Amino acid sequence: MDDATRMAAAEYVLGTLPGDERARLAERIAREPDLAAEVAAIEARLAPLAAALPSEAPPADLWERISDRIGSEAAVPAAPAARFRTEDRERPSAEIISLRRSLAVWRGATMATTALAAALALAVIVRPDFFMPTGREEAAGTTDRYVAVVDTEGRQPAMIVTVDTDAGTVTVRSLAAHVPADHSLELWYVGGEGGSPRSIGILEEREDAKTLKVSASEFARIGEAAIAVSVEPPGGSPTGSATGPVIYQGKLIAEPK
Amino acid sequence: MSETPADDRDSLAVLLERAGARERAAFEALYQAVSGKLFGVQLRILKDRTLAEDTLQETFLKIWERAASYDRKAGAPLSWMIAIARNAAIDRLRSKEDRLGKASVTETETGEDILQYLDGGITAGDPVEARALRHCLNGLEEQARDTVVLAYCYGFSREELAERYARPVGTIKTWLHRSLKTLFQCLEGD
Repeated sequence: MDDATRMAAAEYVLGTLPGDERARLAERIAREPDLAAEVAAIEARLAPLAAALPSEAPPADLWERISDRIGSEAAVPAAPAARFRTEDRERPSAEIISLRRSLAVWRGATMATTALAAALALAVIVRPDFFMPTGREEAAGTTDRYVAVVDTEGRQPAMIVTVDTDAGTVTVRSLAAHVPADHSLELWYVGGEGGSPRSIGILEEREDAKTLKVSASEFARIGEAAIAVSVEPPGGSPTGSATGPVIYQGKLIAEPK
Repeated sequence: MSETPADDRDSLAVLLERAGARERAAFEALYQAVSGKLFGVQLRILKDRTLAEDTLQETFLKIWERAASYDRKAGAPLSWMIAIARNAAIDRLRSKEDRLGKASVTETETGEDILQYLDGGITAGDPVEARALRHCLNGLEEQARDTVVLAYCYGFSREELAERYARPVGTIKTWLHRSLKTLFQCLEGD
């Protein structure tokens, strides 16, 4: 590749190529794989700079707008919200301040005929200091948002769990979770290092519920953790560990910061 | 988790590939994971929240369309998405005719401010790559380096950079080319 073309590719990536030249180069990139590869290589070299810039929260409804544009699935009316129930009274607690319904819960096309569809959506706001246990490293740049796609192996994703340790919010969004009749679904935090799963709470179809008490230690090593959902007797596991089958699970993924 | 960027990279790649297989939940998780980062990049370029929101929406529609064509061998998933986001923002910016001459040419962070972000410990990308980029940017002459950094982060045109630095447009082009060549040689290990 000659020097002039390479510089044009670099200025295309930078954004400084004048408008008409930019348009012409974009057409060439679409036709010339070598040029496209050079542009991609330059983009990759400079990307760490963009990746290092601070994040900005987009408006809360933007995902709905995008989702509306990409989907063929019909919108489903908002479903009853879920609640977390107190499971562990011994530990530091946090209080839910807000609980809201999902505006547009997406439901997969295929539903298990024997299962009760639970379209759950839940925002839990806890005290900001809750997620900052003593001794935890809080270095600048540490990721503080985590996402898990919770599903059965190789099957349709069932729910998305988002944890924002900075804002202190936990959001559970059900996509196609099914609650077997006469049972409860219990949400578990599975920490790293082979530790025992810890109950986060029960997912229930409820109009209103206002309390969440879970321990800070459950979230202290969240970057190594996973979320699992098991089927339990009504009201949750009587033993403090999962007694029924784990039907959904997913690893928490750190959001780039 | 942020101490192991390779895992994050793999996780994002998995989500992107699953979005390519038309799994909406994976795409939503991808949105949750990177929308803040991409919005930050676009807002810095566009300065206008409404415009940046429209551009972010356009960007995710493009990611959804193109996800099936993402190839891990072609690079990190975040870099791939950042490229789509920046291109969308710059194309929007260039379609606005009235930006030149606005105070925005000077109301920015300095190049050195921007580079501090690269020093801020772990970033979303590969920290080794971030350090290499910082090292090589450090090797450039300051003013010429800043034209590259500010163009990249704020989407300045040659004309806007000429106004900011009170130099002819031809001089700015020379600075940009000199900086980019030296930067790439350094990154390639020459």
